[in-house]
Amino acid sequence: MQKYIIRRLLLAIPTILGAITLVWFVMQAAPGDPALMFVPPDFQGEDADAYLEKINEKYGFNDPLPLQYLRYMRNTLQFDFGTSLRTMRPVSEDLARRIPNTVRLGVSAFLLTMAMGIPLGVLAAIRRGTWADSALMVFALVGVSMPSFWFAYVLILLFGLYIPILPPSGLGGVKHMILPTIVLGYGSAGSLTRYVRSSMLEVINQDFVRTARSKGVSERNVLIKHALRNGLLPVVNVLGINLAFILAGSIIVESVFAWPGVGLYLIDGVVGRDFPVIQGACLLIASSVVLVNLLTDVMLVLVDPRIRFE
Amino acid sequence: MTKRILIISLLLLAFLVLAMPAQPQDAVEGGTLIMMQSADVIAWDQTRTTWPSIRNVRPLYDTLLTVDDNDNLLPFLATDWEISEDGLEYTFYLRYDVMFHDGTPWNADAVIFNYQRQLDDPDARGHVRLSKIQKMEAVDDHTVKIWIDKPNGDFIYVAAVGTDAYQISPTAWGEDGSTFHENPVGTGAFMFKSHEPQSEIQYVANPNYWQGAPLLDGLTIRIHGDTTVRLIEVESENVHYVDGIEPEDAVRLQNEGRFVVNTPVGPGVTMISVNTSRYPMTELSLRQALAHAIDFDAIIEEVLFGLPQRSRGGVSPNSPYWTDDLPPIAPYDPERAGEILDEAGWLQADDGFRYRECNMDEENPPEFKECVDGREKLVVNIISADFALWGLFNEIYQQYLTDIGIDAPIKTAEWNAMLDEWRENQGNWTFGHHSQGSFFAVTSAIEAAWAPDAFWSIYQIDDATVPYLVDVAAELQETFDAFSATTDLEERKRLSHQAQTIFLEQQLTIWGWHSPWINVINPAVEGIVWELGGRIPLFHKAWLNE
Repeated sequence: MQKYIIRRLLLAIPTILGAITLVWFVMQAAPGDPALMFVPPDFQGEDADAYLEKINEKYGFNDPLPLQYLRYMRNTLQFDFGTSLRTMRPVSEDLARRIPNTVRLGVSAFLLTMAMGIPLGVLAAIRRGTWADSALMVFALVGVSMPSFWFAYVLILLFGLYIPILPPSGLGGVKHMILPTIVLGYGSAGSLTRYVRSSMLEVINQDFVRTARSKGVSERNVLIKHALRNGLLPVVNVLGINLAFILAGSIIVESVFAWPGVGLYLIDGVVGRDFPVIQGACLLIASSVVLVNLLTDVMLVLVDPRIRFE
Repeated sequence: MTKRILIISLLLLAFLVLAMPAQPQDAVEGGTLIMMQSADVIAWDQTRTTWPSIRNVRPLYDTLLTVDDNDNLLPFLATDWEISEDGLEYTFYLRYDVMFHDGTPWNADAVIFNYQRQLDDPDARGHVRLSKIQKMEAVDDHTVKIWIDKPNGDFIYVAAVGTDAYQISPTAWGEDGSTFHENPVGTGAFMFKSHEPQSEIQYVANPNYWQGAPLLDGLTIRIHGDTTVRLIEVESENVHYVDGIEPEDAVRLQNEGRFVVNTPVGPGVTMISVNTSRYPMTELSLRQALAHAIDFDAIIEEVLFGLPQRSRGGVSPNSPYWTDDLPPIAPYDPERAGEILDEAGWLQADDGFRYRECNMDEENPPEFKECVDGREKLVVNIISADFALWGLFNEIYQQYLTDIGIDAPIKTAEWNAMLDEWRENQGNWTFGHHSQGSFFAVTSAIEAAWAPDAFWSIYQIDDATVPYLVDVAAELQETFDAFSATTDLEERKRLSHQAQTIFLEQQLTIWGWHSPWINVINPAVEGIVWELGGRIPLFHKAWLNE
């Protein structure tokens, strides 16, 4: 197992390098000169040009692209993400401050996803073809299809203004987490519900389930001990994807709810053409997704003895 | 002798009582006021503070002087100031009773430190602005003298009132300021407590504030970039103050009467930026026709709910340079616009668009001139961005232009990409909605980047090669230089009038309106003092009735 994990970790390195290289090239290709963000609007031609030149020189924006890329890769490999072009604070310091907030939101949304997706999927499967199944599938479809930013605004209006029982935005205690968690969790829960349903339906018709029933095992035990245990195996894969989806989704949700996590930091960097911020945040998100995938694979091996570490 | 001492003592006591800051009788002490802002603090160090951050850091810092609603200079941390006759020597007399939040005294050395740090740091936003300083001297603990290289009418506003004048503690800054953001220290009415980036800033009242301790216990600033959410937060009474609200919502809240809604018009102007360097916008007749083609009054009434004020010559009504003694602005008159184009040879064809006979035999045909079968189509290329209502305004303009037979395709770019293309004069844009603001009205002869060599030029005349536009550019540059050099307000008024007149006569841009800065306040809040024409709220005398 140790060998397998080490091999997977080594394989993750080119993936992460590829991701950060892609981010760098996309930022270079994107329109907008970061140096311009430094120039106050009241500057006149000569003053501004001189100032712009100083900025370009200091941050190496005038250097040839390959040189800039090598410098960027060297710093990144040393875990030096540089300093924000606007706040002058180290990006790693900013990220460290925001990671707990994103993790808090991500974990609660992930728990909600599982708490909703698994039981509802199972329920839909065992009530297949009934109105309950149809209602649950509509519920799941709405979750999958609804744009998260739109859903967020609906909830903010509803529970922030018309029935003011929850804070519409900001960082705080449990109350502040409810709306963003629902928005982030519901979309993933929708897809999980559908997946669990189809996986369970597949398992329910398998021979071993029929055998269990014929042996006189109670329906409850058939479902929980035999069908669910096997039906959830492929779901582990989907959970990994869902976690990645939640990480990516947090960019939108954190912006709408002003939740100061990595997603909001990234958006702020994009709007401000703050290259080091964008690169640092993207690297963190890409690494998290790779790590989650690795964990998913390891978990799969652990829960399903038929899969070998190869 | 004893009687004299008694009289002097009584007079002194009376003076002290009168000099004490008066608090309204119904003022309530305590409580934390919560305001909501659209953007976080970019940096606690004033050398990197940008406009959206100013409201957030202002509670922490004070400036040497301040201004009233008409930009007249008033004492603040400096009790008095003098400018030598040649305009090169500035003397500031400082208050004796000001301390930084860290307990260190604020004095002449601290003032010099705050300028010097910006002069030494080429990244500082004030670096170029303050580079006019030749020498500084602490005459004594409470007197500072500054010498500049040449007379400049804006210098005192930049150096004594703007963000470059924010006073931070040299002790708190330390060697290199690397930890300053963890506990920023100024002389302001409120002291730093905590900052959760992109979420919340907390301040506590400064009990030793030189204007008297604030009535509030604290001030919290919450951050949210979305106008809708900010509005919901104030409507659900989670916060006491928000600003940057859309006109539609401001009017609704005004009508409902639940909140105090202020709509002061500050320095700044919304306009149609025309690219005078690019054919066919080089032709005065076309620019004049465009000015007649757009109904700004209708836009102000229908889209902006009547809140902005129509611009006369590019300066807001509360600017010292506002005047009605200017050439008339072109009234909305599409028929007249059509006649002007007809006279210029742009005739409407069966397809509804205008064409003009042309050939490419001339020696240096203008770039972007396209002759097809001996005629060219009148095309005005609009550059736009999905920013606020800019896209909508450009679509409205497009319709007005189409109505008089002008083909007006819109190119919409991402905000920064649009700014690049517009500023760098790239692509083929000739027309676009735009707005610009300034810190003070008094430093702006026109409240946008009107100097021909301006970095964020609104009309690109610096690139113009057509002879009459080159002459206009030279005349405007001369006006701008003279305006910058003089401190005489009457002379500045004359030069501003001259610049405004040239802009209208040559239709170098099409002035639209002056937007209000909308803020919504919970009626429980009283005693806010406004700075910079109602754009910056100060809470040192504010209280909460709830």
